[in-house]
Amino acid sequence: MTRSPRLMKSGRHRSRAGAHYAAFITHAAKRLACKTCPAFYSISKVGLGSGDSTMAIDLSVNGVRHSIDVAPDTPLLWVVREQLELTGTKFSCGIAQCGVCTLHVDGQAVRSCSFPVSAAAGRNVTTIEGLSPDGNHPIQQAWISLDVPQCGYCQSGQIMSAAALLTRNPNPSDAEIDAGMTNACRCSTYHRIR
Amino acid sequence: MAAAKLSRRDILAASGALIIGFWIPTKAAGQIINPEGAVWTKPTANPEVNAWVVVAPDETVTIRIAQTEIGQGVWTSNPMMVCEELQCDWAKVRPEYASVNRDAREMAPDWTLNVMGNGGRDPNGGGSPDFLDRSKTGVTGIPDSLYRRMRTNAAASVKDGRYYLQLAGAEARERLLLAAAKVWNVPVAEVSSANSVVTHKPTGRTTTYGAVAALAGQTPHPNPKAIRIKPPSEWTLMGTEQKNLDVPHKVRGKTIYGIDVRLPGMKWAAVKSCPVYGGSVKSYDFEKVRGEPGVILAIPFPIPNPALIRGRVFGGGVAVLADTWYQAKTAIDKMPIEWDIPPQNAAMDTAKIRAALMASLDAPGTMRTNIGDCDAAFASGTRMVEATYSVPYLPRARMEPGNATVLVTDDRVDIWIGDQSPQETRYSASQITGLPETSVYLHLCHLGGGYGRNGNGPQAEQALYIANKNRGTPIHLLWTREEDFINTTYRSIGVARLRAALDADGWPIAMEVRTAADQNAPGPAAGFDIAARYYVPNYRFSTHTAKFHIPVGTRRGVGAPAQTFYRESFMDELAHAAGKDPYLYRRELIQRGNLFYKDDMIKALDMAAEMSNWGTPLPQGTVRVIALEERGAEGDGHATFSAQVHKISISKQGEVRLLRTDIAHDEGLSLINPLSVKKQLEGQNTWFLNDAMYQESNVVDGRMKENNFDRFILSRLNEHPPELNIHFFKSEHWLDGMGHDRGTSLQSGIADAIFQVTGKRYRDLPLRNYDLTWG
Repeated sequence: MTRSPRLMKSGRHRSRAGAHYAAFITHAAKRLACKTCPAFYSISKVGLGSGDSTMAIDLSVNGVRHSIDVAPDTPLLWVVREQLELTGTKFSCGIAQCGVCTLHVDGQAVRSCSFPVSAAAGRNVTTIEGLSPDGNHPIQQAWISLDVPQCGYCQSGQIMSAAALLTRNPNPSDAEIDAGMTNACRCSTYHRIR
Repeated sequence: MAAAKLSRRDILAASGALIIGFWIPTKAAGQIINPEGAVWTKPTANPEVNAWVVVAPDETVTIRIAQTEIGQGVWTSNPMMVCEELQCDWAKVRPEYASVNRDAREMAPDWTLNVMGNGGRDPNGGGSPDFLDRSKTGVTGIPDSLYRRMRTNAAASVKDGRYYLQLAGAEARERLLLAAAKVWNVPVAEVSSANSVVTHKPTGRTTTYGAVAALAGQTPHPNPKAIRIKPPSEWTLMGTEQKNLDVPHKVRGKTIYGIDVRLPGMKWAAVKSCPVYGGSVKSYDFEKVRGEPGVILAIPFPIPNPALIRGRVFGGGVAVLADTWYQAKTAIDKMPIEWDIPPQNAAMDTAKIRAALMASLDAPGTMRTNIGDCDAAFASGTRMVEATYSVPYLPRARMEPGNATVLVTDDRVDIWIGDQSPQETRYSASQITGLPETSVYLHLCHLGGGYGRNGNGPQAEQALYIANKNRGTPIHLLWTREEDFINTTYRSIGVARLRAALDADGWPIAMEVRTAADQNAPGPAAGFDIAARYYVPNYRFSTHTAKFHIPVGTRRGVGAPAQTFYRESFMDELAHAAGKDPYLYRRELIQRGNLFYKDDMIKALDMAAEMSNWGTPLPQGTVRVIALEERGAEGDGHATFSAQVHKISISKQGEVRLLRTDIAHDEGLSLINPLSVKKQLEGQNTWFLNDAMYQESNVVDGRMKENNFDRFILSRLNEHPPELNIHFFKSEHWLDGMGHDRGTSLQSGIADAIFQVTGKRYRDLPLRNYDLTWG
């Protein structure tokens, strides 16, 4: 069987948010040096695609540069969740309808379940984990102060959408909020989001 | 062969893991792996005071809770109930999930088994919690196991849990006081506590809970059955608005939901279940995808044993395992699968199901209530009003797709899952693996929404089946959104025919209610049984059923949403037929009746009407509608009443806008956390707007047509009313929950607004299916 060198879940680039799992990865069999990371970390050839169809894609996620070998049509969501183990960005519909997977690509809100990773090449990706250095972005503080989340599953996406909206329009009208905040919330936290 | 391949790969994983000495699969994995944001039970070096309370030397108070956080706020309200009695510092409280394994090993202490007081109206008592039989697959939990009811259902976490959570806190407090008294060698009557500080009153000496907790754990209370719980008049924490303790993690993406669980050596499973219920896999061609990246093997799974999922029939299916979920999902999408589908199931569609239910209305049903003589009144020649309503099948469609992570070894089972019924899942795990329940460890996660969903499987059962065939490898099973719509139970489709005879003034003299739904539909009698909510001297209520292959189960509100739609719609129709104001018509009929709680219902209607400026002029195309929401109106125990007025506009182009909602809500003897209550009321507004306007699941060729959020519509922020007001009123009973059957008034309300504005009466939900233009 001809396959690209594949590893267990082990040989994978670790960002800070994935550091809890860092202990698991030190037994990786094959690695590539990551150009930008501490020597302890490594990046593997492990990808989501086949040997023929993967390509190294460079992107910056939460300020950390990564080079990831992956089939270029892999949704950015799954690279973020599975390769980078940043699980704050959620999966729900897989067809860009509900918005729970919203993150930023160069500051724009993007539904990452349907956004190919190749389209993020060379660009800056921001997830909920990287929205602010200490998790105290004004929107996160407002969400805490208004006790917005119920189940919370869609809230990463809601917050990322709100952050993108307020960046381009710091004082949106009600109509602009309606137009800018189109993520679904099944618990309906809409009352407090507004 | 497949299994052999897996083991080769996992030897690699296991050997790697052993090198680093961190991952030992046969040990309690869930107690080792605790990333920030995980909420499951952690091992603690600190001795517990009792099974609910651990106080660390640094004064941190860990409170173990047995219900699951699905967004309704139990992560906060349950600890509040313990903390109130414990008299500890709320800022030092940290919730964690109670151990489901320990619940299998230990019986409930004697002192938790007696509910003190005199039922649902005694402020000094524990209310009337429901604890039925000791069924491992039953609805209400296991009454004599350590944590009793671990299930999260029926909006009953406060109603059924309050007395023993208060007791747990009180017993721990008493033992801490005993320990402090022992240290000081003084009578316990001379010590008291507040805010985690214990004071010896005669001398003013103080110590802290953290300092005496270890001793308290070894100091049994001499007579725990004598411990009383505080009535609302003595509460200082309960009844105040407290922000939810899990929110800071949730806004930072740190909460570990089931989908976020990662274990070393873990493999991902993507699933395809037979899209027609009752069907199974005939064949699949794994060779077509064997070479796909990351793919390990395919494994079929049977229709889950009905005994494990309370008799509901799902489909069998097949899973593909891979290194990552996206690899597994991509491969299974490419894998040819043939289904073995029962032809009678494949022949079903919504029209046939609906026709069968309509026919059942004319067949003898189950007579639930029969007061007076309806037939004589109907034959008396007075004016008759008759209407037939229907509601569709509906799923819960929570945002987190079903998932479970399972590791089976030869001596234990570990399951990481968001689960509304962990005791049942523990039982399933034991049945599937052959290991005793005492060897099953559930590591509970918060749920990305519940709404009745996770008590119904079968994500845990599927993952257990796969993991049991691949012992030693952690398996994380995750459904796609489309699979989530297949692997679910639905709120039953329903129809109802209501008939009333009106006297010359338009007041009903007889009313008959016939409802029909799937024979397994839960809650068929809610809202109609025992007595008419609106007085009528002759009243008859019967339920009718038919049997279909679509599995039905509990969804938010259970039977109440459909039946409130029928009842309140019909009251609107009667009021219009009588030429009377729908608010005053309802008020008068409740006033004429003799229901125990009629004053509370009138209070709700009056308050909602007043809040909304009922009767003041509105622009053309804008109307107000009102309805009563009740739970427990037929009795004199736990109950919850609310009335809501909705201001709704309908444009000439047929666009429906909910402009304002005014909610008058019962707070009973006291709420626990009013902030959580408000959030639940806000949320249910959208929930039932969706039920009224948009959502439906239609059966086509035996399968559900709406299988993702393109066809199954969720309203967005722009449809939430710009104005939503909530006022509470006091009453003299304990509440019967409010997390699932409030806001049901939007269904009858929007239908009646459409009638008032357009003159068209539509009686079949959802209403977007109709032409709503006018003028």
